Amino acid sequence: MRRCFAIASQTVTAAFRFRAVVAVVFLLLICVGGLPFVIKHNGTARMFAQVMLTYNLCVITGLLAFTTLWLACGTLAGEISSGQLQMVVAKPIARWQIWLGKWLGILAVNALLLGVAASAAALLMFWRAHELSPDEQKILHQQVLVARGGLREAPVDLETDVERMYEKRATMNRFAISIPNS
Amino acid sequence: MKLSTEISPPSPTAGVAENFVAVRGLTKVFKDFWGRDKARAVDNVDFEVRRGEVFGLLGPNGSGKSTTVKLLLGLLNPTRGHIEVFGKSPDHVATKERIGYLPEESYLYRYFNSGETLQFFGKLFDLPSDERRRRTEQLLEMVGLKATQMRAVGEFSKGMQRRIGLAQALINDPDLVILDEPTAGLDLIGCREVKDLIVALARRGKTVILSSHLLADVEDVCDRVVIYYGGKIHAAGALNELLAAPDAVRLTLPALPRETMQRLLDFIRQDIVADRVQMDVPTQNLENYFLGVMEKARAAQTQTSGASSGNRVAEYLRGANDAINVSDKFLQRLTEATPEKSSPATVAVAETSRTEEAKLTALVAPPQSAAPAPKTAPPVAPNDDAKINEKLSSLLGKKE
Repeated sequence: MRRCFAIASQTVTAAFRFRAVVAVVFLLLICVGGLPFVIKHNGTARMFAQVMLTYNLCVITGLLAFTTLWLACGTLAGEISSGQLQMVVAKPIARWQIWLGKWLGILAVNALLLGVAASAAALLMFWRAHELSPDEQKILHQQVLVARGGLREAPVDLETDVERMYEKRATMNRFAISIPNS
Repeated sequence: MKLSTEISPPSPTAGVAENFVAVRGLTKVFKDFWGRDKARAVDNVDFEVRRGEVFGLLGPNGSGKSTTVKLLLGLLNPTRGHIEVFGKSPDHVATKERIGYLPEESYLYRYFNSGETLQFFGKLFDLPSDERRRRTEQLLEMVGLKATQMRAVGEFSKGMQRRIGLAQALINDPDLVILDEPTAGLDLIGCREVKDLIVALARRGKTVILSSHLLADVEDVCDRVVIYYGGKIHAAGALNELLAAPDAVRLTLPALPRETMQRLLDFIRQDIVADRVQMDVPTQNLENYFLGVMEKARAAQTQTSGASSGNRVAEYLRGANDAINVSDKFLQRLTEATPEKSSPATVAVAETSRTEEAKLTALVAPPQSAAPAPKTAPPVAPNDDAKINEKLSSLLGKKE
């Protein structure tokens, strides 16, 4: 696997050294930050979420797809045409390892770009959420941003304790009932 | 001088030394889009490369040398024929751990610096990180690029890129080194260093395949060559046999008095037509003269922005027993059973009659001199291998 990682590392290095990653990050941030200023929402949580999330994610997906295509074609076709791949193929590395290494490298670059773009979109959404009325903000948090609940700490399981206490109380009550009135 | 034009067929006795590379009936035809033959780059080629020899692929541009190299490495598939490298197909991945390859162009990643380049190729050979770092430092020192190791390879001159290409070909301490035009783009000092390196590798028992159209490169370092033209091999054999002129003898003498020289010439002209005798003053080789000038200039100048001269062959490539390997290789070459005819030099010695030797000695000696004729080594029976071995061992030093 070390050979695959070497190829992956080389692919990531190529993406950074050719400023490809920097250029795409710049483009993504412009899109994520600029889109809400171009498309206005009507003050409702639903429309706000649509502009801030749905449209932004569409742009991010499109840009990342383009980047993937560009990186994959660029790295492989470029290395074949310029002969660099000859040097690699002459080494003890199988073709599938080269392919897997390239794929892992592009995956790593995409994951990084996605992380940056998604973080920027989320931060922007929270920052601009105060533009909504309190009721709409409540809707936003209860209906749109519900997935965040999964990140919260799991509630303490009281069910067992409640059952035990109930049984205890019930036993005491039965005992109290069974005492005849004198 | 006429080169041998016959390719000796593979002989059973040639298998005394292990064949690292065996090529039989190799043909490569490049086709166009419609499948029609476009160029027959290699045409029915046979040769073997034995363990520990420096083997030259010689020929003009476009004669099929680089295509042959690519076929040996599995970068191209042959149209016909059979190739074995270490007894395996060229596509066998594990075999490539024993091969170092320098292509005709330095196809390097331009954004890597020289250290990163060697580290990357070291990772492809799955070298441990400590070993990788150690070899990288030694190789950069060897090719004279240690001072510029943080510069991107894309900024390097062609010669510097060639040097780093050569270093990457040696990162795995290969048993078989394939060098395609290794001195292309290098200055004279770089060429000499590459040739010294090839000799050093051969001393360690490494096998080198050298493809070049520069005759001087091949002549200086190769043991055997094949000469390509139009995709076919037109001559093959040991270099000293191909280049020998069996019907001529060269004598190099210290400066003689005019009378002695005149008598010597008169004597020779008794048997040989005058215009067939050539006499000149030997001059120093221009390459050696140039290197001497550069050595002085280097001693005076302290810094250069380009590649400096490599100091020494990387430690892990040198090995500890160079001298032993030299004598071993020399002995092996001389005592190896080969089907070829005996070398021209040996023939010349055998044919020289004792009477002619005595006459020549008497003529060169001062007049009325009573000095005895110089002692000559007793003739050695050509098949007495034990005696040859013993004598060569005493000359080259006993193996420890």
